[in-house]
Amino acid sequence: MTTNEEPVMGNKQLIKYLIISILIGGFVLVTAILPAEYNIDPLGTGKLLDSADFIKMRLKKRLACKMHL
Amino acid sequence: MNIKKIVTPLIFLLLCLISVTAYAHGVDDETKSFLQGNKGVAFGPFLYIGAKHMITGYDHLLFLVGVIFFLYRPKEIILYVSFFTIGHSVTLLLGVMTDIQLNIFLIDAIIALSIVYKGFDNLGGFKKFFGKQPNTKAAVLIFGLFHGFGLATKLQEFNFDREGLFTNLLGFNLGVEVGQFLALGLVLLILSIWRRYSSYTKFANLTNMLLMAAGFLLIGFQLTGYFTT
Repeated sequence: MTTNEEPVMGNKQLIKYLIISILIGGFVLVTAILPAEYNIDPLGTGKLLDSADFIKMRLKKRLACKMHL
Repeated sequence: MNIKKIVTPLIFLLLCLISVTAYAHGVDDETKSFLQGNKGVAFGPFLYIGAKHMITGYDHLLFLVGVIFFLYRPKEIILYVSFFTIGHSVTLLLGVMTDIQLNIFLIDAIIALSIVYKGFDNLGGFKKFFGKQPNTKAAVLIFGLFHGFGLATKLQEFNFDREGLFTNLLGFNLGVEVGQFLALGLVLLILSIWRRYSSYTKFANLTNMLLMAAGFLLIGFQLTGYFTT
């Protein structure tokens, strides 16, 4: 195989891929990252995820361990 | 297929993954307290911290994945990785020694941009849109400089002892290269296995699109940090 064997795609497909990638990035950002890291929750998904208690329990456990030390 | 061919990569994979369970990307608490309490030369520990930082540095790794995605000849891989290495080593050393003051969010945003750039470039985007493809080697070198600033700013977050700093830095830098070597080995392993299958070319476009998505995600993440803190 030779180097720089990049698949050739048309302009339209390229733009499509660009837009899709922005959408995916934006979606994950807004639904998961922003709520988790900055407490910015425009879609309320943070609350949804938050209600899944497994993260809270893990944090509580970690805190408890640190307290005992 | 003999056992060695299966077991060796698996062990390798396991070793790499163990280090990833360390907290990703930033400098974790144990490292923090070590750096702040440390006095004088501590080459070994800094080496370890550097390696750990690189292996958990997903933004650096994503860029590297993009760079070597379509590189097949070992000479080319070594060449491009060397440009990246030179770039980040220069600014890592320079940045910490001169105690350069850079906004960590902006630098990380540029690093995220490098991921988008590489995904886009791998899709042939520049040739299609602009007719010209920017010199890839130069781009890797220049983005490498920004990656190095990213490494430097992370390290700078902690006031460590200036005595023996350069030696410690060299240790850290060497550690980064060790981590890069390990991570790269893993990536190349996966790539070379994947490349044997027709799904590689089929999903090459999708993968690079996902690379861009990750880059955009990280840009958003870092810029939000910049504007909200």
